[in-house]
Amino acid sequence: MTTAFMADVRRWIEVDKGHSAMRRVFADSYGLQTLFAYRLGRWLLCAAHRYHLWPLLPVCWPVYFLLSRCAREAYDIRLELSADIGPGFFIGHFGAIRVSHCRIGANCSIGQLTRIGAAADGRGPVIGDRVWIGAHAQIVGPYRIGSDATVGAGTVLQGDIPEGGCSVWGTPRVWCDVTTTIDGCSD
Amino acid sequence: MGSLAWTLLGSRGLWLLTSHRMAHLCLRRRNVRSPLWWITRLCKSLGAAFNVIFCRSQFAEDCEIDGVAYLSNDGYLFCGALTIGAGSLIHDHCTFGHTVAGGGEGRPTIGKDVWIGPDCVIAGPLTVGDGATVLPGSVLTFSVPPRAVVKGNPARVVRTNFDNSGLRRSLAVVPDVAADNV
Repeated sequence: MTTAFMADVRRWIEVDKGHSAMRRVFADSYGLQTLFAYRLGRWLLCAAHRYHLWPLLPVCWPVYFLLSRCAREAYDIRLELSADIGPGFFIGHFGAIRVSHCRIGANCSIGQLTRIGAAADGRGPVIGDRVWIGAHAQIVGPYRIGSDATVGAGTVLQGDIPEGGCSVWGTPRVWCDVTTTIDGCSD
Repeated sequence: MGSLAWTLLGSRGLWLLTSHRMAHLCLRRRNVRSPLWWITRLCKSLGAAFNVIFCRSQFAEDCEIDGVAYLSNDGYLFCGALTIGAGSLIHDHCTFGHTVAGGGEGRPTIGKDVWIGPDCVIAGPLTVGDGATVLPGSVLTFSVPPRAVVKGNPARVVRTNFDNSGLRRSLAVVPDVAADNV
């Protein structure tokens, strides 16, 4: 948990150059606050198999539920524990982000109003490392996205993306040259 | 009178606009010696947190809104536009921002009397012309001429010389045009 979360913090500092002071990093970033709750929850899931950590569980689970509920109500970022998110995850903005039933590699970025989850049959996407997912993207279903790929803004994914590929404009077309990727406001 | 007060208090778009104007004033009239500026600054910071939690929106502080703009009460507006013209109406779930890879760092300029539907993404150094209409669900990456209608992902111009004053009359996405014709 600690390693993955420190990777998140380091990634945040790296991406958001303006906020170098550690205190401001945690105060200003909605993504890190949510990720803290998520990492805690994942760690508690693992701790169920370690008997010497069992005394911690009745204390830590309510803390997790409180934190994740706060993040959900305040920022509307939902990182379910069924998602397996690698270290160095970057959430640039808040708002209507739903991540569940998926596997995400290391150093990925995600925009606002995105949805990553399973289709009706319960199979979710598998996403590689260093993938950039733009705003308003929807990745729902058992798709595979290779490492270093880009999912453009407003994309509703309908097929797999190869390694280093780029899918923009909502259609199954896949271009292997990165054309335009879109981010929200920078302030 | 009571209904007017209720409208003002219950309208989250208006709160967002007020808080943005305060932040904008704070940025433009920076004066470290004045206690009034520090009070505005404090209100700005509180307003930003308020926007995130209650209005679910973020506004870039340097976004220039000249004149009256209408924002949706449903929130989820991520506005990084350079300017928004007078009389524009912007719906919920919109993102105006800059392209990051390959497209430079430009930000959009939105003209006067523009109607932007819900779930739109407008990105890059582009200009949305005066009186243009962006239909719901569009992803816009090029400039739009005045009075044009664009839709789709990728967006394309589907009609030119369209008068959107009927659309801008109410915050409903599908306006009750029949009521006007009676």
